Amino acid sequence: MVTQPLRESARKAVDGASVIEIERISKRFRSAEGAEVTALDEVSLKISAGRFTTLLGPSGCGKTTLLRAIAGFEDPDAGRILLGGADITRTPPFERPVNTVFQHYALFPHLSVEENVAYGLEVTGVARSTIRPRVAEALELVRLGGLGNRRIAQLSGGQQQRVALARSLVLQPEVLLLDEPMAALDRNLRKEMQVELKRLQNEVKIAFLCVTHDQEEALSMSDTVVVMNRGRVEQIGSPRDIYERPASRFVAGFVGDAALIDGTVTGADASGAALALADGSVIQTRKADLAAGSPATAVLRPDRLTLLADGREAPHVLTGQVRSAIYLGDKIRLDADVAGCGVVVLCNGAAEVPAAGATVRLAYDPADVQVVTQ
Amino acid sequence: MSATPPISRAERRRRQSGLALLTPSALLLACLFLVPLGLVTVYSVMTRGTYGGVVWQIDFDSYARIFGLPNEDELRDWDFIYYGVFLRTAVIAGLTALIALVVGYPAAWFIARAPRRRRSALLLLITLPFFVNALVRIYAWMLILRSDGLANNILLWLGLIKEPLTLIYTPGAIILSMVYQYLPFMVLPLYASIEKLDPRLVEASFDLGAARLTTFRRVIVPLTWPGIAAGLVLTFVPAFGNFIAPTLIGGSKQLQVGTLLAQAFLSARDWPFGAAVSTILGVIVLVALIFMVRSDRGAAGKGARS
Repeated sequence: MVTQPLRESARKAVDGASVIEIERISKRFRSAEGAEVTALDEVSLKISAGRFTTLLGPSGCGKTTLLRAIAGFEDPDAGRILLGGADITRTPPFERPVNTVFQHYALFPHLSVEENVAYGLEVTGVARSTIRPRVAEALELVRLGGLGNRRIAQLSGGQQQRVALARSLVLQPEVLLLDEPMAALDRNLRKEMQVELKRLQNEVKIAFLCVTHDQEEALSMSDTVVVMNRGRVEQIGSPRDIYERPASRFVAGFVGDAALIDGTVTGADASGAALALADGSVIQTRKADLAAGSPATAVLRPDRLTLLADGREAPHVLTGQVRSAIYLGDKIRLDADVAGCGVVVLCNGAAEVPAAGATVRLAYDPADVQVVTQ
Repeated sequence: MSATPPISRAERRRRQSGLALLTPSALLLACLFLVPLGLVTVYSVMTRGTYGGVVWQIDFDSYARIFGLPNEDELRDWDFIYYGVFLRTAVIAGLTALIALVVGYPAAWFIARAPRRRRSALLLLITLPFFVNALVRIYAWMLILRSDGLANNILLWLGLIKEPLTLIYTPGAIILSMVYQYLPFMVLPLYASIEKLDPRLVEASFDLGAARLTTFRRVIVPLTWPGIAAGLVLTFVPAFGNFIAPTLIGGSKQLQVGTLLAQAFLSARDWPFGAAVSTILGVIVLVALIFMVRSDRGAAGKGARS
């Protein structure tokens, strides 16, 4: 009796090689009002084996549709889905070696915890003698050993999520799909399960593809983040890439707070450029290769701007009017108007809280100024 | 053993108001159901009156006749004819319930998965036959099924048959008319169960590798079992006691329990015998109900044992 241990399951694909390739898939829906909605617009994507990938975007951006297309619950109108090189676009969901953790887990209420986890093994004709040890191992993996006889209704939300994970992982899928796995959990549990999910993924080395609208969740768990908007992929990169080098105005605004200041490129050269703003002031950046005269947006994270006290000087300063200031204890959150654009600043809580309408000077470092042109 | 916790005043008041709400229906049931049921049971062990009614003298001979025991006073030998009547009725009622399930399940599924605003219209359509008197509907079936009726005429016109078929006065015709008559009783409880079934559970089953049939057997049937059980009981029980269909559609060619009952009371004027038949019918129905409730609990409670 040889059962392949879940923890060291030998994946067919080498770590980092792509296990799923999505080639230009499109999907349109008809809304209740009869209008046509494009959920996916020629999306192409590669999911790496053994990595944690997150699809991040606002609701309605197509991320869930993409996940359901991979699981087999949506038929794309065009394009192909390849798994290990084989086309599975028209394969029914029960023949795909991928498994899903559903948003509200969709555990079978008429079965016990153990029976839920055994379900996939039983229906796919796994030898009876190996089912029990594999179920026990999967429950141990998600730290639910000893709860096998419980009914689903007797479990907390966090425990239900663990059962859903065990039920999918016990089948050793090529890819584990997770549809907003934290949505049904309260805040504290969410943090705990983020860590737990990452631990699990490291342990089983199965590719995880997780859908979320929570940017913090995406940044904290993922090896790769795919930012989606209006059925298109906006940017693919590591969490640091996405946050520090956003590819578009949308990514900069969606992932974390950011000051987005619109201007026109002037005086671009190899060492950097300057953006002329609407009020005539200028913002410096170290970003090169910008075409002079073209419109561009400067991106500054809230913690990279410093509120200058009266009488202090800095080499690079922006001037703005305070819209509102909120004291948060360790920080002060300042909403200011710079050249007609809303700017969020997090400054040291020890500083004086400026009054609304007051003029403030904000110091920055040109190296922190990112520029997006679309 | 722990002592029963004391009941709070609010709890007691809540229970009392619950009882008060139950009173009208309890009274109605007591007057119109329990008292007649008691009367029928008492009648069944009395002696037959010559022109109907009963003589108040205890006599178990009606049961003896049904169970086929000999009676020397009446020159009666062993006779198992009534076993056949009950068995035949049970088979016909059982087939009616099963066919109604097979026909009704897809319909209930379709309605439960239709857009929400269309569902009530579809449910109304299912109950539409109730707007026509039952007897009128039975006569309509007779017109359709008789040898020069609609069904035979269409089949002849299509050239599928050369001679008219014997459709009416067959067990098949009885079952057909009863399936038609009781289908709403099957569809409505099934609809209620299917509507509550979370479609994501079906997706989860597919996702875990179960093909359509396995998903139906292992997820959909257990989770809609309350509706299936209720539908089976609600069609089997009235089909068992039905006497209009066997009489008019079946032509009373083969005796069924419903016909037997009607004859005992109306033609033979043998009230104790009729009462005994209906008491046994009641017991069979009760056993069927208990069986359904048990199996329901079994399906729902699966996995609760440790």
